[in-house]
Amino acid sequence: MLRNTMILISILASGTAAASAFPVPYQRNVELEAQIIENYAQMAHLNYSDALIGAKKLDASIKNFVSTAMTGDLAATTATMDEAKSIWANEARMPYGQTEIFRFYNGPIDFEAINDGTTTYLESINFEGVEGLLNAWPLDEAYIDYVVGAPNTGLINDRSVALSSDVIVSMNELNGEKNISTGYHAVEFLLWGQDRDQASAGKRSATDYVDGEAANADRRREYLGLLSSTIIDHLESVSAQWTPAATNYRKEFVGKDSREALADLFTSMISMAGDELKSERIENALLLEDQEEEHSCFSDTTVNDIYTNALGVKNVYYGAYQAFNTTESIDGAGVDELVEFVSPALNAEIKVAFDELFAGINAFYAQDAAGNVLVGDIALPFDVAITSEQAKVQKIVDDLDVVAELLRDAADELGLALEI
Amino acid sequence: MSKVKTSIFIILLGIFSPLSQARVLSGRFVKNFTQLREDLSKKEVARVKAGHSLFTKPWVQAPSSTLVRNGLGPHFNAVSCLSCHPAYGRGAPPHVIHPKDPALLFKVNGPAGAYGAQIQPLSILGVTAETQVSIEYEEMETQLREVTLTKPLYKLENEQYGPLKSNQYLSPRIAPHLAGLGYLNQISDEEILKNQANGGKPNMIEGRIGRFGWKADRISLRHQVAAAFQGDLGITNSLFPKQPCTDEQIDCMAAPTGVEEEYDFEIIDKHLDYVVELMSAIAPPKRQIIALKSESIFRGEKVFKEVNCQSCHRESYKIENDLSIHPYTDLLVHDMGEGLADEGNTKEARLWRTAPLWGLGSQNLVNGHMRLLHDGRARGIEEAIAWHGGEAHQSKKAFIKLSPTDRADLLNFLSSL
Repeated sequence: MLRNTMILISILASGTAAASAFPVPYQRNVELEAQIIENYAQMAHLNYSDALIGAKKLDASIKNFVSTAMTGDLAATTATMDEAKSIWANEARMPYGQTEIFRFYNGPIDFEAINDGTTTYLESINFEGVEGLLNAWPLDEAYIDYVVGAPNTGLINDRSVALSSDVIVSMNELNGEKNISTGYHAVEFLLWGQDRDQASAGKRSATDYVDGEAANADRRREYLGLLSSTIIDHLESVSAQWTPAATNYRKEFVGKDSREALADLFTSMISMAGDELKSERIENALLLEDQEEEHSCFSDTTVNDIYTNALGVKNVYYGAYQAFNTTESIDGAGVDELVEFVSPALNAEIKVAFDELFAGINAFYAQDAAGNVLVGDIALPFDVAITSEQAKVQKIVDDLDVVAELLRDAADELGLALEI
Repeated sequence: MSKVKTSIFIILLGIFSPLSQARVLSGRFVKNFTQLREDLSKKEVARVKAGHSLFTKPWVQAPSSTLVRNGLGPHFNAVSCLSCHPAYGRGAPPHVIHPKDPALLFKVNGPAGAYGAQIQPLSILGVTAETQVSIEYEEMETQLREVTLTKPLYKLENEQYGPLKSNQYLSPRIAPHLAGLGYLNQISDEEILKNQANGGKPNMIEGRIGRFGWKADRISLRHQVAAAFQGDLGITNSLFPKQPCTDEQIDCMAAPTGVEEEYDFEIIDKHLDYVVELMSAIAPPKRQIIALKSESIFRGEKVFKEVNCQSCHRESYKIENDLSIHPYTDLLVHDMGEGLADEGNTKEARLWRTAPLWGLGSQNLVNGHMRLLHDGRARGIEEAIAWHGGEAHQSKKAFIKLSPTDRADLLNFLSSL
């Protein structure tokens, strides 16, 4: 570390204006750093466990739905389908959206082997990141099921292929090129159907799953069931890497130089706030002007994605997580304490920026009579907002930019070099 | 990241801006070819990122719920730009990194035929793929110590529309890296024309100088980007409005397209321009100078001039705002001899644009291979030089005669670009 510090000093000595961003020598608090990293690992495990519980509930509701569909009772089929949709949007997606903050630094969720001469733990076990299989977008709808104008397309309508978990996963790389046919959005497509207008979400009828009402209903039931089981498998593989007291990624992560781990935390927070959420998921929708250029386009629940992605950033900053599916929660040492240690003023500024951001996002949700925000109860769908309420969308973009820039400042204050 | 690596990283990034303020395109890859120019406004960065999204995310078969990314194929080489330009870098032939790497494509030279001007080996559901190209390599001895070459032999397989005509020939092209293209666009015509003293000539397309592509057959980035969208992804646009289907390809012609609602083309002009702006926004690759080798690199630069490489691989240009850039190209086309020529033995078959050398030092870091030349046949810099012929014959001869030290210095220099 001495060596790094000396280089930073020599940069300062070069006398450029920008160099004043480096306090010299920057303050370290090794004990606090270790607490933050340990707490972060704890949070990651709780968040993935919560997402896994949601995925299991989703799987159970889907199994219930498809078995009800086999009875031919249309009213009951519709009711169980609606229940599965509700569980997808709430129990399954609300925790998962928050786990997306664990991407961007080659942790388990989006791990790829890097040929750099060193072998990490995940490389040693030939681990494969599953982010693309769980959450990739846009979906190749026509690879899965019928779409407007192509009534017989997709794996569901091709009876020559026996369906299995391996088959649907392998469809994801048909021709050696990636076609997206698994994960949460594939389930979303099979529950809601295509959303081709702004007035509502997709309007797939429950009859799609009833024999005699729609072609290949049996294969649609089978495909949907395979999708929800596969989500469980994939989440379990990631969750196991964050389990405490095991030989896994977590052990390596908490054992490494705490500054390297801190750089991972900042990389993910800044990547999510300043790039993935701000640019990829929101600002691009404004610039590309397509009402379906949104993450959860079939169900029109993109507001929840925005809320949970932003909440993930806040969770890591504050070191806090409240489970959705259980009463468990964590509120330990967060990055905020370290920023407070080097710059109380900056920490205060960041906290205000988070409050502003959530004020903007919460404006998309309904409120109860007492004025409390009803998270998950979407009053203004994203596809409507990007055409008719652009100022509200732009506010989120601007607030995310402020959060990301302040987090960059905090990384500077802490002397962290980030590759973003 | 080790401490030493961190320190090197600090030096490479440059000391004039706070480290965490560097602006790069997002993605899970090494970022040498995705640094953005520093003079971009926030609004420009936002448009560049929209272009980045169109560049990286897969296009999907029509009809789909996303109008923006709708209309892949019906025939195509890849589902996204990134598929062939991994990390905005250089692609490799199949089997080097991935058995089904799509980065090497084949134009069809000669009269129009059933396959059209380019082979697309993939197709959407419900449409039969045209054909695939198989590759075999034949070992060749050279006059260079310890260097053998591999000559590729290309052959069509699974031809749905019969064999090529006797006067039609495959013309391979690999995807290059994309860093610094905006600056190549800014080199004045006058400067390019001055370079003709070396024997090269500009490839004039409708009165304008071709600058991009292996044959310099694209006059602007917009021209290049639009051609790639249509030819490689099957995404029609205002410059190239026709689906990649020929009259003989009935299922292709009949397939649904992404032209629907307010989309007059599968990618509308506004979106195409985001991608063009993206191409213009990426900074040139930075030099990779390893301290231990710096003296050898410095000597190698002299050897580069002694061997007369710089005659065609011109080091630098002044562009707008008095900015100096160092692409190492004259942007002219040269007769490179029979060894490198496309099949067909025409004059055009032997002509190639002087490849810019900037980025050579980053290629292996970013893309994990050192495949070079227009079809990735060269397995490193020495092999690429050994393939030079025609107008470059004298320089190659001089290279062969270099002492081992001089040769090592030259290679260290080239590997630092």
